[in-house]
Amino acid sequence: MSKKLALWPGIASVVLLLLCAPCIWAGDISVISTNDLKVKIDAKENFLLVNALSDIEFGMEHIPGSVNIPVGEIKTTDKLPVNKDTLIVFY
Amino acid sequence: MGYKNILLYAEGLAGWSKAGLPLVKDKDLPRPEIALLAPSKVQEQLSDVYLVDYRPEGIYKQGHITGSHNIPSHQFSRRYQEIPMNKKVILIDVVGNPAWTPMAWFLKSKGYNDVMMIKGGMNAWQKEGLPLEK
Repeated sequence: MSKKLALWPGIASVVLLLLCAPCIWAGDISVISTNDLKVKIDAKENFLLVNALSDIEFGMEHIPGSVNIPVGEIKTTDKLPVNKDTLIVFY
Repeated sequence: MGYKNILLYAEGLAGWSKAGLPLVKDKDLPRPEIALLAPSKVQEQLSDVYLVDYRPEGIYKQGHITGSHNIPSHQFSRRYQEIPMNKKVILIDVVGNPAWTPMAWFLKSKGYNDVMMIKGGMNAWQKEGLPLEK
């Protein structure tokens, strides 16, 4: 599992570059902690939690309430919120 | 794409699980141990096996094993039937982590019996100086 986690900087960079390129160059991408994420979920805050792995990996295990948008489908998916101010959390 | 409020949960599944929080898991999919083959051994039998590289297409195009077939992980469930069932299948990813072999487990569940992975993935292949095609 640790190796899988180690892949994340690369995968996350691709997602974030596609979604929010200006933020990347400004160094504005922040990381959320486990505790803070749990607080948001428990409080039923309005945000989208996205698992960016494949559908196969998503099916094997994922955080409850998250949706699956594989990195390769981020540009064509209809699962992203219409309101571009909505918070999106990727894992 | 214009989204302004993006956060990264870098701890991911491992961090969530480590904190004792629940995950939705597919308990029906068996997770057998998948054999790993050293890059040099793969190199020796290139003509006898069916190599499937499931890294993203853009990364695959930057350098891959000659004769390998690219089926990116996000397309895998739709395209796995391109893989012949009568050949030994060797899967290729970045790191070849034996503890996390989802595509191999998936193929096994679909009736592919002879499925292996490259030990250490493409990182190991490149570290050993084995040839790449671009």
